[in-house]
Amino acid sequence: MNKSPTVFLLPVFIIINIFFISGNLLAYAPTTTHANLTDVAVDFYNQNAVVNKLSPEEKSWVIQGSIDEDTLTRCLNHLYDPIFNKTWTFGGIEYLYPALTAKDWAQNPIAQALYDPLYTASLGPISKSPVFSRANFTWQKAIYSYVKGDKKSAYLALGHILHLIEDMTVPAHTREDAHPPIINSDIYEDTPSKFSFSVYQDLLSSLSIQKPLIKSTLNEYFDDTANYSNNYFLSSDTIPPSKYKLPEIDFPDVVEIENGLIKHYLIGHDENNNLFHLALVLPQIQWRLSGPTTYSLDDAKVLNDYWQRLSKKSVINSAGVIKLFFQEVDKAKQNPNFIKNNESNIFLAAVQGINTFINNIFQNQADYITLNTAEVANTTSTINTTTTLTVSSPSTTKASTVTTTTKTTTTTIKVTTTTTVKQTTTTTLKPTTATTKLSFCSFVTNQAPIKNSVIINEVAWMGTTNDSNNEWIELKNISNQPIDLSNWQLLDQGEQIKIVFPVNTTIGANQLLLLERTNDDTVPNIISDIIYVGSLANQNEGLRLFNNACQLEDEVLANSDWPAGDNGTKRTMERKADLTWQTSSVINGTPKQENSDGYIVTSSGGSSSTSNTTTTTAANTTTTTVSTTTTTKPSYPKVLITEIQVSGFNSDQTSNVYNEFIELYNPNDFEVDLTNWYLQKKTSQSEDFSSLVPASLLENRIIAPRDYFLITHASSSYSSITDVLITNYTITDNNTIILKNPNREIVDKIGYGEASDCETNCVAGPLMGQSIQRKYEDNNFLDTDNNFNDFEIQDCPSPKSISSTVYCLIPETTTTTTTKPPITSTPQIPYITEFSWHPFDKDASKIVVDFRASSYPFIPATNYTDNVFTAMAFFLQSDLDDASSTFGIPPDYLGGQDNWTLGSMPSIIVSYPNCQGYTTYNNAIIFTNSDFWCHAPGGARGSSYNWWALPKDNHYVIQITGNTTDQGLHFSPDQYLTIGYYGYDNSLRSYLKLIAYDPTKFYYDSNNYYHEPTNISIFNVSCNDELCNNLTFSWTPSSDEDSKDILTYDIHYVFAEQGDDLNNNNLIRQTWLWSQSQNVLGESIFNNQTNRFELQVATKDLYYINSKRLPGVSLDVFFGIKAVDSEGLQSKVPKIFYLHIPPIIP
Amino acid sequence: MKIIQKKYLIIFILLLAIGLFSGFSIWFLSPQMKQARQLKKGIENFNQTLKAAEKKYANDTYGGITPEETYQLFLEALKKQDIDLASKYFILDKQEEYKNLFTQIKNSGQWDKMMADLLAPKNAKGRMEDNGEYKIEILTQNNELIASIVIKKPVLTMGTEQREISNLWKIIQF
Repeated sequence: MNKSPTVFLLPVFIIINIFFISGNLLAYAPTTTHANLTDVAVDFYNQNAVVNKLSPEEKSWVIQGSIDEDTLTRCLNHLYDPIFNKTWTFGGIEYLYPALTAKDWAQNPIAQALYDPLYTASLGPISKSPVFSRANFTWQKAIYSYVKGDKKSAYLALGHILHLIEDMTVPAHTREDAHPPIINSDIYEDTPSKFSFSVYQDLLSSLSIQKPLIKSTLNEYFDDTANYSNNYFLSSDTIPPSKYKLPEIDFPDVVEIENGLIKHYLIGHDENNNLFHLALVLPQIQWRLSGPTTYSLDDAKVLNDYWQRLSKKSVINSAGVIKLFFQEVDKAKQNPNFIKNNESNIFLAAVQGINTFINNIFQNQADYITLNTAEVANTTSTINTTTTLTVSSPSTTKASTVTTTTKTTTTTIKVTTTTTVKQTTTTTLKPTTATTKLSFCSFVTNQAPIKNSVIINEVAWMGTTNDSNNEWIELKNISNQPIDLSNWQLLDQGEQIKIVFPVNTTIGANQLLLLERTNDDTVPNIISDIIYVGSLANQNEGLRLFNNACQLEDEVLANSDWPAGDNGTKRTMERKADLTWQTSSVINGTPKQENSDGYIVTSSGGSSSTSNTTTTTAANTTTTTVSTTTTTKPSYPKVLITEIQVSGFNSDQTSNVYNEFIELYNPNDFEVDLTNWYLQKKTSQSEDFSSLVPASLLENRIIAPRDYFLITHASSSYSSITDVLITNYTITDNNTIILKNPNREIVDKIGYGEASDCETNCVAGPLMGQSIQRKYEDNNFLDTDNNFNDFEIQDCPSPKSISSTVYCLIPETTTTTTTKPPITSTPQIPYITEFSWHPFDKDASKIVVDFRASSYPFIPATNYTDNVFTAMAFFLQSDLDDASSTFGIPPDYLGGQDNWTLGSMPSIIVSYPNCQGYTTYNNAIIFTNSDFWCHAPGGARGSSYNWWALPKDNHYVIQITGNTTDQGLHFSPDQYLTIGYYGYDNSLRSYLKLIAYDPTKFYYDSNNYYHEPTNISIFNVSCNDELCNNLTFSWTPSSDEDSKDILTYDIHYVFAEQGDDLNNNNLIRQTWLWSQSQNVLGESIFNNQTNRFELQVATKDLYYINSKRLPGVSLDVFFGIKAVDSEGLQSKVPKIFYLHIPPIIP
Repeated sequence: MKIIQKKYLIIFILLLAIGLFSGFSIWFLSPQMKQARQLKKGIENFNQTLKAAEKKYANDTYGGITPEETYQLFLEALKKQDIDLASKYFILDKQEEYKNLFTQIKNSGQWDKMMADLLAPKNAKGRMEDNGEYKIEILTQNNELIASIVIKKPVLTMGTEQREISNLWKIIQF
């Protein structure tokens, strides 16, 4: 017989009481910070309340409750990550500590009740409702106690809830902190405990013109508060790069000088777009140069900025929760069975359930809806895991239905704030034979949509201008009678969006229903009808609407793109009267309103970078070309891709993989306006196309009749004759390139080499220096829609010409007779495309390995290994070694189960950012194949390359920090590396097994280092108008000996000092330190006419200039520019330009 | 008669036992009790983890009984370029990280520059903060903040209870 759990539960709780050995789980100090915050919150509430004000005694109960919530191991449940809907990960071993999110914990009476050993021992919850447990301080308990007349218990429980809301304003509570809570607590939550009470009095005063936040449910308060601290703030262990995309960094390194002390700060902005200090930066300068940039929250300015914002949020939201509490109490009082239902236990409910079942045996099947037992058991705590919806607006809940499993579960989902819902969980122990399970419809179906009642009317698949995650969907009833949506389902293609409309959901004739993702703030100022979870992809997606019989009512599919909508301008996809789709003429769409007249689609594509094109002509043509009764789209002529060069040579015959171009040709007798045309590319391993030449670069560009249009990379030999220069994109071997018109139609396509997508058959891939040329026959370019037939390899590229008119040198492929291989060796194992190791710069301040891959992950799975974890290991050998000694290279396994390393084998040691947020030093690089595996704990897995720090261009420059042979960083030309590749062993878990060994000798070359870009010769800054509200920067391009480098430009500024010669633009200031000046941010474009880069910036966006521009005060500013290459090397000397900025006119 | 009564009694007792057993089984196997057992197990696991960590700190002998003493010990180790020893003055889960940082600095030939800044007179003194931390700011020759050394005592805080788990001060940030 099993031991009674009471036997071991009781002692456990006693032990816990004695030892108090649960660490500080990152909470505000309960007796100071929580107590004070709660005190201020109640005062703030009272200031704004007309009725239901709290007396001083009642306030003291609430404060006591907020203190008591931190007792025992309750604090294990005080975290809530709203982005991933998770609680603690405990360093990846969260399965050992089944904690709830704070949001669920606040509303799970049984989970809380079980913390009371006496309740558990007395066979609760079978024999006793959780309201009778001494450990239950849930929201439901608070409401029940108040209705019962026990105000003290009610306010104590309310205090517990406020504690949890306050904890949501601690970023470490809402951003996954990986480290255990011993000593390493988050500095922010420690700080307020030392504040005097006057700080809190000031806090209350600062809120004099504010009001409590009003939300409809407690969940919304949790989400609002947690999202605020998560989205705008950092915690000690989630400094970027981390898995959180937010907060946005406005300025990564701003220098501030205070009392002669120079400090660097990371700057972000709050919800009002006010800048503030996100973190102190310990910069990579001098002896820190070789280490990672370190951030710290332990700074007075940072902590003060955090406190000013988070404390206000805490109080405003807590006051709102108090208000909601009284509203819920009023509702509960209207329910005559409220108390009885809350005091019912499982046994009684079971008896009632049998009665009700017998009475309702012929009830409509649709009323009986339940989740499976496991889900039901966790319903109250894990609503989100079922990915079913949470209705924001309260719907009718029949208290009398709580006795049946079916109805209770639906009410559980619908209304989480009424205690009737929680009581229903007790009935879920009933055998499910009495109920009918709801099964999800399958997205995959052959049905044709019916489209005669409720349709998908508008979709914001791109999000809104506030946030691209702010997606929403609108349905419309196009029939002339109300439609009951009970158990209808809306699914997306991946079935991560699975909305089941609750029973009694109806939509009136010609009415609209709004579904918002995540919370009701997605569409501000409009109340959502339904809130759902899950996201819509920008491509290869779909939505299907099924009725309660799984008949397909409507659908919209993205193959690969959505039929309408624009990601760049956030115009939504709207349904027209004829049920086709259009792009909304309104930015952010028309939620809960009639759709617009439509807008001409911009060609920003589903996955390309944001386009800023907004063609004014579109607005004019909208009314003429967009008809509500026809579906005619404008037609566009043919334009051909006629030549492509993928890589070439420099004048010194060294290879240059960016010596590339794409040639277009207009075969028509009229010119073609390329506005809203764009090019995309796809690698052989990718399924999706990505941007190559965005529409913004082709805006207002014209191809003359029967003429060429050349697009080159900045490093191309033909950049001087180019029509468009690209700098951020590149083509590589085995790509597919497509040209699309404004209708998003593919006009031409070419696939070459091992491309996965070609027009019928692929053309061969060109060698370096060659091009792929479309054949020219009978005065026309051949176009049979077969790349293999239509194209040929050309040894000498001929941009803007049919054939080359210049002599082109084709280097001979001779075998080298030297003992050393070329500087950049080509690996035999094609996982990477090239590899080298050498000093970083001329001064050899660092030694690096440099390799490129075509994509990521680049180490594949094999028959016996998975690529969930893979590794590259670097074996160090020398030509002077004893030839018979191989040092056991390569070993079959990389280290052991817990340490993926070569140990003491002769090897180099490299350093790279890891998934734990700091740096791994190892003689192998560990990779993961998805962000899912990139997390703490430490040990082997946590040492993986930080997913969010992976180089986007798949070009790895990784520092060597040592080696296992004690020779430091002094390598000789006879030394070389060989590479072993390892994968995750399928049969021997947690081991990395050798899958390939590249014996190529990659020699160390001390003469192969990165070069700085050249200094910029011409730089000009001017005001665009008399008031100097906007600035234009222009400069000539720099160049770099390292042919593969992509150059960017860094503009800084300093204010003139007394004694500066304002006429001297060659000023080299002795104290000009690049790291101490402010920088200008923005995207530059290349002007082909002037052969210069140009950048326009609003003066107000220059942080310090704007703050110094007082009325009547002019500014003298020196701007300086340097080029920066892919390795971060800069031009040696900045080019300076002095500008006098006139004062603001009051 | 007696035999019949006895039979009924036995049947009754059996039924009662079966009923009690069934009821107990339903309760014991219920999702709520499963959750309770998981909770209990989770608390045990968590407490064991904390106990183990606490024990490690209790056995840790590297550090001073004042923050200044810890810092001096740390500097002495750095002067000798004893990176292993210097890293031991950090809190336990950061020792490896800083060991690697110092190794990097050493390998890059910047050790002397680091020591020059650390030993500069203007950087000699730290200050005690209100939150119980001792902080030393390291400035370069140009008065640029290049390191912020924070030294703290390991304390376990749970609710209203606070308990030192070691009386040695440890470096938590450099």
